[in-house]
Amino acid sequence: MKRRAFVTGKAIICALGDTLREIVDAARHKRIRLSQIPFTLASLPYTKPYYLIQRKEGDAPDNRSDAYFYDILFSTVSRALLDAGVNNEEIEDMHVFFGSTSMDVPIFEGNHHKTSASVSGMFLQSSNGYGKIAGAIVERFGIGGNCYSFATACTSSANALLYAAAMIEERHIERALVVGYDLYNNLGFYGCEALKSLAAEEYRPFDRMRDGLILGEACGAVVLEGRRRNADDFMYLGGANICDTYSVTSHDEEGSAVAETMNRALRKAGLRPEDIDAVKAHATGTENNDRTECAAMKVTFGCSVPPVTCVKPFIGHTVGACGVNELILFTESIKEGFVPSTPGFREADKDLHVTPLMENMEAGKGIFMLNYFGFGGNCTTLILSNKDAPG
Amino acid sequence: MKGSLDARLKMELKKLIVDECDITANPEEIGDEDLLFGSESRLGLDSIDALQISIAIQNKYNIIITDSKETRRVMKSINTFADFLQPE
Amino acid sequence: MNEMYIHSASTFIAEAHTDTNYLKEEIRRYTKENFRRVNKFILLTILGARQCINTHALDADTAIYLTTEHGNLGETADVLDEIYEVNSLPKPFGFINTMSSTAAFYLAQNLGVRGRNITVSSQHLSFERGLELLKVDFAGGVERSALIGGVDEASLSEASLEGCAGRSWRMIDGSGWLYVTPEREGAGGAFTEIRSFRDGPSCVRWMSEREISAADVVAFGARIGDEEAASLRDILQPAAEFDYLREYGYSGSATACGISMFVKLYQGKTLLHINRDQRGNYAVIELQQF
Repeated sequence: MKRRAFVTGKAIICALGDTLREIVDAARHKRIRLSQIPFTLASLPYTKPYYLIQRKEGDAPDNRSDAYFYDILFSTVSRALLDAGVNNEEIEDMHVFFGSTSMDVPIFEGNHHKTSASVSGMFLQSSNGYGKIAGAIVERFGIGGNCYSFATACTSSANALLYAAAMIEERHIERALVVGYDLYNNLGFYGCEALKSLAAEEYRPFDRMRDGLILGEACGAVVLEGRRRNADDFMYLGGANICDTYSVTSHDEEGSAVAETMNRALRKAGLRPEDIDAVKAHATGTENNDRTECAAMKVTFGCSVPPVTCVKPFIGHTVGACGVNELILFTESIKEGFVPSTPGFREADKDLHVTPLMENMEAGKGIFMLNYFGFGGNCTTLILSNKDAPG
Repeated sequence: MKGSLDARLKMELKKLIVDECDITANPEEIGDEDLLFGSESRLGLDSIDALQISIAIQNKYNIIITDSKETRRVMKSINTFADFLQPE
Repeated sequence: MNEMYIHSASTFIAEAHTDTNYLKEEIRRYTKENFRRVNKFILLTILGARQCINTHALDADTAIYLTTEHGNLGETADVLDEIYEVNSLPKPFGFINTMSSTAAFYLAQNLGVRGRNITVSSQHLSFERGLELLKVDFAGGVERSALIGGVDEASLSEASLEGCAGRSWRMIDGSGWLYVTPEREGAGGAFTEIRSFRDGPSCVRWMSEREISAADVVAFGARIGDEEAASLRDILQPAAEFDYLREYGYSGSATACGISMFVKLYQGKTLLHINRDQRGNYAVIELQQF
């Protein structure tokens, strides 16, 4: 019998809060918390919205302590380990799969505003490469296994999960800690503004009036193991990753590569399109992403596109970390009996032919598709289920 | 003087486009009326090139081009671009 | 061990501060495409991989695994300068290229392949970890052909040697690539072991207890110190050693460069490559040439 990978533990810190209960509750009642951030360094006379973690009143990127980055990271990981109920021996046995877009840039930026050293020189001295954060995790928690840090832009932590699951299925490893983490950084915020991809006020993916994305910061961690610990643990059924070579920043609007990713994931999971009960769309709210993704869903699902939800309006686009963060938000809501609706969505775009959920949808056992796309043409689809394991 | 009549400004813009968009053409080869963007244009610049040029313009001339539709209109050719930067 | 056959290998190395125009010139030997809006890391990636593929006809589903210690961090430093020193929004091309996945993207686009496209890193063992991902994809039948490489710039590589007392190689730009499939036909060699160990003693135990004959050539990665290398030599008694770090220099992707160089230089030989990270986790790669 084929071995499966199960999500046995999870934790997240995001703009909605620190605990799964408050986050799912906020999703159920469409409560969102949006902050405004100025472009002070570039002297621009306006602000843009951002989904900021606010652990205490007045928490803002420019008044965070040096330790803040690792506080968030270690707190999330330790609660995920606790949630899974793994013992010290099992923690020692883990392997770490890390996904992020900004990697250690937020640490550098946090330190930099306290000094006057040359930026690039100081950055190159302080950075020890992309593997540094995963290295800090294994050191802090006494994890003995290997580290894999994925740098594939917005699909980074989705790819981290894809490989962690595949390694468990192929019996290369017993258990994995998968972490997606992107904290606020000027590089990403200013960079997206330079690309004119930031929305002005409200996050409205798939809406006729959508005008871009709103970034967010969050840390999500899941424990994957080769056996179910709780009856409602989600099981990984399959996934796929391919490269859409159309353009470095956008995808082919016909949606062929994105559809191919979904189809390959379905084939890997041994499923047909009609087996999917709901789709968590990537839905960045940019013109190109939403057009491409909806076209692709029409290619894959034909006239019977399953119920679709876009969860970014809850926590923002958490870039490389969105793979794990959105998986947690989506699957934990289902455990509580609902697929969350898409806040901010009001008016269908007739060119898209897809209308996301406007009200929460009752959900029980099912099979769910989660889609993620990123710069560099990266496309990733994951399929998970909370049904009983086959066999 | 209107920008399209200012040879110095137009050459400055041509050089800026060549540098910023990392294209192999000589600035002198770009005609004042040549289309800059799209498949019919010899340079074949795209929307990311337009954004790149916008930031460079912002830094050099302190002029902000607000939305992408305006960008396309302004940057249709060297002449339209020069007139936008220097209306009279 | 699943079948991982090596069909082609190539290494591009250059002295630090190699000009991007020189890299563009070199790339023109393999492709007519004119690359613009790209940086040195991307050009090194394309050049090394194109050299490796050369005239091989690639399947459209070929996967790309780009392993790197520092990826596009050079570009990231420049973009941070724009924000903090110039006090400007960053220029789009620079910002886009802070994402290291763009290098593997431009390579896939140039080659016309749309298999998996992964950029992965792991302190000091990036290439070894990338090979493990490839191994699991072959085992699961997900991929049928792959390009795997390691790319790092000289200017960023020194930082990764921190804590390696007495290791002073010259820094180079490195891009080492291998074209690998699960098919033996037409292959010149194969990976026969890709193993990880939690500590030195378990690595040594495994090497001492192996029943198959010792490898012809041994090579040590950058974090194996002189003393440790000496004691490993005593255990392994290799007929020869390939000290690629001393001969050719170091980059963050030295392992990928060393291994792809071995394929070219030591035909008909087997190689045992031993490396470790800062924690003392070990990784062993064995390859056999036919």
